[in-house]
Amino acid sequence: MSSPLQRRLVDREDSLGRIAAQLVGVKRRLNLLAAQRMAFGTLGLLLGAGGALVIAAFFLSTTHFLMLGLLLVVLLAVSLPVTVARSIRQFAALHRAAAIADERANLNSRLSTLLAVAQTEGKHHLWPFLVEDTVSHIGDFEPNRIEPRRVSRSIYGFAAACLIASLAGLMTYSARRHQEALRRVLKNLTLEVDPSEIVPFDSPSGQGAELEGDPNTLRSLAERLEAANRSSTHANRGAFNQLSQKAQHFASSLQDRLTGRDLGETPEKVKLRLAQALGDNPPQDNNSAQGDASNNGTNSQSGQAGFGSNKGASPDGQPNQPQQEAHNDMGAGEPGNQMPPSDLPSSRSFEPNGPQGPGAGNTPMAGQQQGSSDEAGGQSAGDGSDPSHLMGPPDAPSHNNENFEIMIDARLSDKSPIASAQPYVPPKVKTDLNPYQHPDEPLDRGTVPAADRDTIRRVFER
Amino acid sequence: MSTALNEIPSVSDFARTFRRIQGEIHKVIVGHEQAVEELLIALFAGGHVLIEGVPGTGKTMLVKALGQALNLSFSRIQFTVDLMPADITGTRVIVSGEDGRREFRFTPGPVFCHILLADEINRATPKTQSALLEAMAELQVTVSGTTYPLQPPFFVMATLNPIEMEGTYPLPEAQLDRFFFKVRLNYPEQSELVRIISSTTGPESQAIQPVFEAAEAAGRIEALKHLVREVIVAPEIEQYAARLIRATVPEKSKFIVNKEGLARDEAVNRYVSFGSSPRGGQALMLGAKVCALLDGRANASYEDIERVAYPALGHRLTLNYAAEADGIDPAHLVQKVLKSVRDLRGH
Repeated sequence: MSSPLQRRLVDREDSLGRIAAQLVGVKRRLNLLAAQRMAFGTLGLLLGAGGALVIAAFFLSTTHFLMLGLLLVVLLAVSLPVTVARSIRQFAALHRAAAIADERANLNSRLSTLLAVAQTEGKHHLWPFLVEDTVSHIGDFEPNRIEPRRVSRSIYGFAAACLIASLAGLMTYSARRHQEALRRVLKNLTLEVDPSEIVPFDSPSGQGAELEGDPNTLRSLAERLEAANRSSTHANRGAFNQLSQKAQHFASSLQDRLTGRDLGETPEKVKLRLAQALGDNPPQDNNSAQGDASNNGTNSQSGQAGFGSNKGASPDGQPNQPQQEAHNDMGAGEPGNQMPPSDLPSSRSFEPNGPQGPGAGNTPMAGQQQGSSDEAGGQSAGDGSDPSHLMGPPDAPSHNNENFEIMIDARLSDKSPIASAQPYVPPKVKTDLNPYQHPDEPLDRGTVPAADRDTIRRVFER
Repeated sequence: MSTALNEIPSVSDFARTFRRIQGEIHKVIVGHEQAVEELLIALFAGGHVLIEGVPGTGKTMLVKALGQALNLSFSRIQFTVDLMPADITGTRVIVSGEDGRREFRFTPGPVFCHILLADEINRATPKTQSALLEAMAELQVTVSGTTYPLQPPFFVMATLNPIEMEGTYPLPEAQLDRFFFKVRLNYPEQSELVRIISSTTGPESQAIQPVFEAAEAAGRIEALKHLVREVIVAPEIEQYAARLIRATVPEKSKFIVNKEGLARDEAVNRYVSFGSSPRGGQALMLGAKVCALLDGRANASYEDIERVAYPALGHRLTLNYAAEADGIDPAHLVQKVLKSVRDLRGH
């Protein structure tokens, strides 16, 4: 794109033509750099911001990620137009190229003056002198001297942005590979589970466990929960909060997408197999194996004691009956013989209030579990939960069968390879375990609430 | 003179002549290089100079040396309180003719010369001071209704003594504005002082050699002045000079209609009552042209404008009481103005 003046000057073969040709070279060099500045600047900004966002997705929580994203959007919205406008301003017409050459070559406005009065060159007495004087300085304003660089310095910023983007791409690639590998594994996931590790969902030792306490405390807790729910519901009504939630959701999904956590569906079914059922050990070895572990002291014969890990009670693999008796003694709540709760894992399973001692049985459940009846004897792990009283005699333990398999609902938990990922907290299931039962009072099967029957059955079937 | 005008000297002639005059003056004036250069710039630009300096710094000597170097007629008027305008311009006196008849005849005053030294001009009354106005601005003198032209080149150099202010009459702004440059003669430095002492107390003194022949001096100088006006100025440079002048005018000035381009510097708005007149712009541009020729160029540049900014604008800024109280020097404000408009250069 050249002006008529430029064409007219360059076509000349005299001194003025030489000057104009050289000036056009300066102009081209300046415009080349301006174009590079615009390209590198805008691309660098976009790449850098994008890379930073991807990297941030790996390390920041959703809220911080959202805030950083907003900040980057604002920065881009400001800096992109500024960069483009500045680059456009740096595009030089012939007059501006002359002014720049004047300044950089210390020509004292010779070129600017020459161009300015080129239209009316005949009017000035000193015009020939000006032209010849400028020609004598023609070596001072060669394009290479006015602008030695052929590549704009903005390439450094662009390279830095590329580095950031590459790093982000690398991280995304490796995270996606990891996720895909995990997905392949999870598709046919079979976990070997020791029976002793299976605890009821509402066990006090597990998450989402049933809370127990005196009625006043529970009532107070229930009121607080209700109040908190009310305030939360009220707060959620605001438009800002809705917008905030939407933004959080969007940021979360974007974060998942960037970190590859969105790959496929998380398998919801995980196949679990009992480790002992898969082994080649004959059935008679089961007990000794369990005893060796002591481990966990799983008593397959006592059914309900299957969860009562008699740790330390039979370290040498002795038959479990005496241990159970000893345990029953403790379960009877004899103060003199009571072992510390830490030494009694079984009390953790079956006596949620065990550490509180026998007198702590304020709830019906607690009272029921610490029943000290002699008849209950070897089943003192909890007379009140004796399935023979609740639902009749228990079925034969199914895990003695070969190829025992159970299907359970499962979701990914916070064992994510990505430290910044939000931990998955499973929903709490609150199942009342028959609050109407009094100590030592067997309940008819029919009085157990229907919702609890499955739970209880599931627990004791293990 | 017309012959000399027809032969316009070249740029290199101008620079050579200028340097030669400078060299002759420095035979007797030790130091004051910048003051001498500014004096000569004003001379070739066709202006007049106000010289400010403490007693004994060589003001009168400088003017005398210039007159001798240029080989032009030279007059000196010592301004006093009782000096009358007629003592400057001349007056009509009654003379007896050959036939015995008496008639009024104009007797030219000391103003009829090429170089006039108005020594301690602030000691004369304003009426007398203003007698110089017409001569300085229009190169003519009107006495009793009759106008008498002055012979070019006419160059007034007035001196001001800044320390003896009692019984003096500060020059009105209108008269100050008519001086192209205000040149300051500072105290000499140590080495200069040694040279002054040794050169003025010895048996021999340096004699100034006239640069021009007496007959052609005026013509040559006029030709050089004409060359100055031939210097080419790009529109951007003119814009820059105009912006510089506008930037000396405070925003609060009531003589402003359009406030675009007025003083952007806070110090100017705070300390300046009245900015430079358009004469300041003329002085800037003509001074820049002389500087360009001195540099061997046929075009004026931004640097030339800035080089003459202080002597051209310093005395044209009317400062207020706040500036006086704060001891603000006009040079400081000119620097501020230059800084404020520097980013408005061509690109």
